[in-house]
Amino acid sequence: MNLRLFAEEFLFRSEVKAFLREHLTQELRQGQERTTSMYPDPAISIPWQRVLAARGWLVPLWPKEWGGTGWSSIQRFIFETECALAGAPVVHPMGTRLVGPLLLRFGTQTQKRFYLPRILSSEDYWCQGFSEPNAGSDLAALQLRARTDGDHYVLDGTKLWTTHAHHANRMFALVRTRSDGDRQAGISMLLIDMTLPGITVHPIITIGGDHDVNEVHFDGVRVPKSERVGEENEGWECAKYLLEFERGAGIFSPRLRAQLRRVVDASAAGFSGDLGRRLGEIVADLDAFEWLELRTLGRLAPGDRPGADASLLKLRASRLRQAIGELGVDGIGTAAMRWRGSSADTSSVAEWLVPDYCNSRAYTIFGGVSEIQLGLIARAALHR
Amino acid sequence: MQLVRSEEQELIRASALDWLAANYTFERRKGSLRKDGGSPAVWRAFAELGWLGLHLPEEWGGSAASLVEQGILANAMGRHLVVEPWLGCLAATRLLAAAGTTEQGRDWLPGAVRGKSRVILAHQEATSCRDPSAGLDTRLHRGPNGWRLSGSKRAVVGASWAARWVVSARLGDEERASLCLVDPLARGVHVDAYETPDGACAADIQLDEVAIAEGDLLGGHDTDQSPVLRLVAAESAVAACWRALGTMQTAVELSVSHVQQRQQFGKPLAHFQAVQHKVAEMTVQVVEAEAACELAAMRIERARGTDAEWASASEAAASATSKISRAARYVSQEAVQLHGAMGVCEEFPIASIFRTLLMFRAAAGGSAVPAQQYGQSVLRSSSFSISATLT
Repeated sequence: MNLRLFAEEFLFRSEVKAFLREHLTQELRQGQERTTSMYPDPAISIPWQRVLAARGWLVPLWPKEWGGTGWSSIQRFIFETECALAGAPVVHPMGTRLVGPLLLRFGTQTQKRFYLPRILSSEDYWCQGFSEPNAGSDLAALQLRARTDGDHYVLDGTKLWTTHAHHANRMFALVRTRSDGDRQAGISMLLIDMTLPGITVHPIITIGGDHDVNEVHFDGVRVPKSERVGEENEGWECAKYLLEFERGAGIFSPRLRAQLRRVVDASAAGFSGDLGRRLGEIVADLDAFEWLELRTLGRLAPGDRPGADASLLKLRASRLRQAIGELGVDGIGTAAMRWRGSSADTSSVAEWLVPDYCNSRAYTIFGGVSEIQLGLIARAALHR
Repeated sequence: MQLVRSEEQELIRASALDWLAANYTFERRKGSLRKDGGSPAVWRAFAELGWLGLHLPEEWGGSAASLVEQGILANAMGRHLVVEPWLGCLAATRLLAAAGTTEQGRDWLPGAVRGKSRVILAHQEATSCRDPSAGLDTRLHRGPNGWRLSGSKRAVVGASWAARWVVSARLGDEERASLCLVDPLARGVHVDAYETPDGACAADIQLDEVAIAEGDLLGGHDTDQSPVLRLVAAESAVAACWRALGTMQTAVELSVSHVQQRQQFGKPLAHFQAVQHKVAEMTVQVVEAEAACELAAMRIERARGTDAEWASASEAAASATSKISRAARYVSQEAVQLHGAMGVCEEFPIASIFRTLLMFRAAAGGSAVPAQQYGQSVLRSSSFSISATLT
């Protein structure tokens, strides 16, 4: 066990740095910098995704024959670290990190051949239809009904907290195809064209004042059965697989460190007294987390499921993200009272820092609330 | 980069745990308690197992183990709440090997590796516990009749057992540090001995114009020993973190088995969500603490031989200490809580664990001091903004 980079890892790192110097424009960097929510607008992420795709670096998690990179986990980590520290836009994960692996695991050849290239080319922009008004942590309680009508399903119901549904042209969704018997055994996974008649998207403004999430209504929407992933009533398997991916396939620590750097740069008051202690604790936490994340990645063979480790990483990353946000608002003192200035010329750090802090409260809620993660960690610890 | 432990590292871990499980059970540990230096038989066994020279170069009979390997051994000792003064001895022999002359090495190291000559580092002072960046108060100065050493050292575990102390001191009014071999029986030495909460023995040492022969200054008086002293202090702090980690791991294991066995309201405690979440939080703390220990040891190894060696080492040690110190408080308190009334009885292992972790925190300066120190250090070096693993 040691931290010395092998020559090829060192070379790869230089290659990534050179690539970023050449292709990461000031405009893209600024776009990411002004993002106070989880993901930048497609106007920022898509141009960057095209640059990455042209270099063959957009989908490291996919197998090589579908456009993947064939990187080792250390290479992936190096790549994510350099991108985050350079301030590159966050890649929208719905297609690249969720739908891609989902189809690769459960999709038909036709589905793979149709959808995977469209993710690579950023032609399709995906959103995730999981949560519903009465199905949050208890996801299996979902009720969006998919009634069979010939070779179509007819969808009626509502999806909630749907991130970037207002940008997306496609949704992957869990729907109820059977109402009797075991709740989990009546769920199917569908790929839905967002332009179909009967779909309406209503904005929800977040605690940070951003339009990120939406309420999506389905009113007699007809989806061909060929758009189902996996067998009918076996969508829960897909969901479990994806939830683990959502928690575990990400590499969080580089973005956390980039955020910490912004917060420290923004703080006018400096870090004396209690703020100094908190900064020390956060950096110490981040150091340990970074190694833990890298070590966990390195121990996963391709295709392995991260299991309870994913819960642990998600829990800690979300708490760290919040601690960094808190340090930021406390560090700028009364400047945090400026929500929005009268003009762009007078804009202050508070205008991204405060909304960002507000939005960061969502990190311990989405992708499975902390209490759910603790339950999963406990189950593994207690061998039950 | 090597993300997993080597076979050799796994072997050190397995063999250490095997020996300790057979020979250092909670019952047999009682034979080591409240005795200067613990059990002589245990110390002899440590020597035979090669644990006293693990870190030393091969020329001194050691096996030149890296800090990760030392940590793995310290971790096994922590799991079994070893009270013998291994850490203080490790630091003293490390300094003798790195800073001493060949002659000083010859006088003390072969004996120390064989468990015969007992040397201990006496470094901690009243102010250095609160502010690690503060200079040493203990002074070495040259009088008309040679070198004289004055000052006081705090909480030296194994002090009364040692044949010699390696005492850190400031040379006159300069910022330079010296290391002196001091005979505990020398004139001007006053020892205030006491038991520590974990059942070991320690002492506060008062040094009053103690005469030091030129031959007892490590490396002679011309060398500034401050870089090597800071480096070894950092390594020692990291080894202490690994040991505390082991104690926390045992705390979690005992708590898990307790909540699985203990029944209330007709069910095992593990059935209740409030209990489950405590177990989960403790697990998270311990997993992170392990990562912090591994990272600190590897960071120090990575900086070996560079200009920034001791500065990087101090930073790595502060990071780990901040992490482990907070974890130690949480895990020790919640482990007692989960054990209910049994947790507050001295006879059960959990109380010893609690007191062992209390000891660790006291030596580490609690939670606030290392965090404060690390916060200031990363601001100066800007290391907070770069990757801790990929530098």
